[in-house]
Amino acid sequence: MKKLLKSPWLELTTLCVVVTLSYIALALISKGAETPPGGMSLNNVALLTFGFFLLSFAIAVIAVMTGIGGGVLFTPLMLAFTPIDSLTVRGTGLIVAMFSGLISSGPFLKSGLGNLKLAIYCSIGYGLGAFIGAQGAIFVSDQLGSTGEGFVRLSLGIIVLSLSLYFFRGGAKSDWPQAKQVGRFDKWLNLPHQYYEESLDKVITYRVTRAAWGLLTIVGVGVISGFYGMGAGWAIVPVMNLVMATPLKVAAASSGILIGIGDCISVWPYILAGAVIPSFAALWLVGQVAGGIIGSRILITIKAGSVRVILIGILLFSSFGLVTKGLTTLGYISEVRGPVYIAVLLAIVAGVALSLTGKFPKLKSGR
Amino acid sequence: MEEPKIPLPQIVYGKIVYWLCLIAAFICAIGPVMGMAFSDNNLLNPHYLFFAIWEGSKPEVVWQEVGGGFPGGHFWMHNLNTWDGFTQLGLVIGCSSAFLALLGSSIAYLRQKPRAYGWALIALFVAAMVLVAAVGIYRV
Repeated sequence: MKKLLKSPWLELTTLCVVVTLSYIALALISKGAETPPGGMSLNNVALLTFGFFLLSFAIAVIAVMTGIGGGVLFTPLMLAFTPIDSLTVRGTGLIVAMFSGLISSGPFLKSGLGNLKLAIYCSIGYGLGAFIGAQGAIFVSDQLGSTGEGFVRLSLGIIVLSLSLYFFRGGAKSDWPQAKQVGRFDKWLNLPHQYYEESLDKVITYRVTRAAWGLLTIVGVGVISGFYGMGAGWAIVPVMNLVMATPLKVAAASSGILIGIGDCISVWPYILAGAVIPSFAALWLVGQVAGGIIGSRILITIKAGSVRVILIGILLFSSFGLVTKGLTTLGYISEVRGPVYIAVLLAIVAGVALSLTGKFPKLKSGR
Repeated sequence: MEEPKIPLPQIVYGKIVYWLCLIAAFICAIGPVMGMAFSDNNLLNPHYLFFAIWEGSKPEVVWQEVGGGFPGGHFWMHNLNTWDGFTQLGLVIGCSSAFLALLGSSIAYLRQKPRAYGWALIALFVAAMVLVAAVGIYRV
């Protein structure tokens, strides 16, 4: 009980109580409410928005734990399974990605797991790349049409699949990479950091290397993000981890902080164009904040190997979506239906669950 | 075991963003629900709004058909007495939180010993990018 009166549980409980009471009140009001002709009944509106809140909460827990940003899960799910317009989905998707990143920044930075300098440094490349990517999307759309988009989507899917295989084969090496050489530029940036790792009960000191290459790669990630109008946490984590030799958990935490900053820039054109509809986006925001607090607490305490397993699952699902979309756009296969996506998702979830319970020994973390 | 000291700019950035997001979340939790309960006090009547969204209408069509046209991204300034204006205020607070937090961390970089002028400038630069986007100069 005492724990509930301390931060972050106090604010989390208060927020959940406010949401629950609001919906109980709304359910009572909706019983006697009249539905205007051509409108949706209050009861249905309440059910729909409460469903959005619960889904958003679940997305945030997973997204924050793995540092991918909620948009990567939200956007494909909404586009695949709801009739909602894609611009509304993309605008709200940025809100989802941004708030899962922003709310987790506090706990991550306070615990030392997140590295603010690293996030700010990478956000310059991310912002620049996203701008170039958005311009590129217009160019490709004008010049190459759907064929160009299909090729890019397919190639991206293959890259994501390769990354997931690398994480699978690389095993525990990618959990705690060692920076063998630190260049002059890396030293000038002064990015080394240390934090207390709860799962190991020890202080971890790490160095960041290849900062210039990292920034260049993040520009590329930003280009992809801007090109497709989707979050890029799934790519930022591998870049920080594999290129800059940042420990996987630090990469996941810093990626969340970076997404929070980066999407604070990229969401505004959507808001100013009216693509973010306040009453629709707001409930998703609340779910992200509540779920983000839980997700950040989990990431601080769980083992790095578990983060890698979940990340592999998400990368596999993303690559499946990208490859099938690419092949569909190029006309090689017919459109993949929703149930197929669900079946693949369930198979991947089952695989991840088996790995987390130790059934796939190769994925167990060392150290 | 003694835990390492966390740099001041990290603490400042984290606290500002965390509390501003929570304020935004409380506003966004109350705003839409009150808007549904008192549906006449909105720019966009929720009965028609959610019907139009679920129909797959484009945002400009939603604004046009339900609200008589898009009043601009900062419509909350003149519509704080409506529930969706109030909700938009929550969104704006959250979407601007990184700007204020980066300003705060920039000051913290200058106050810590030794002073990190370079990092203070980089944080200010990124904060300026958020500001420029929020006022509508940066458009894609």
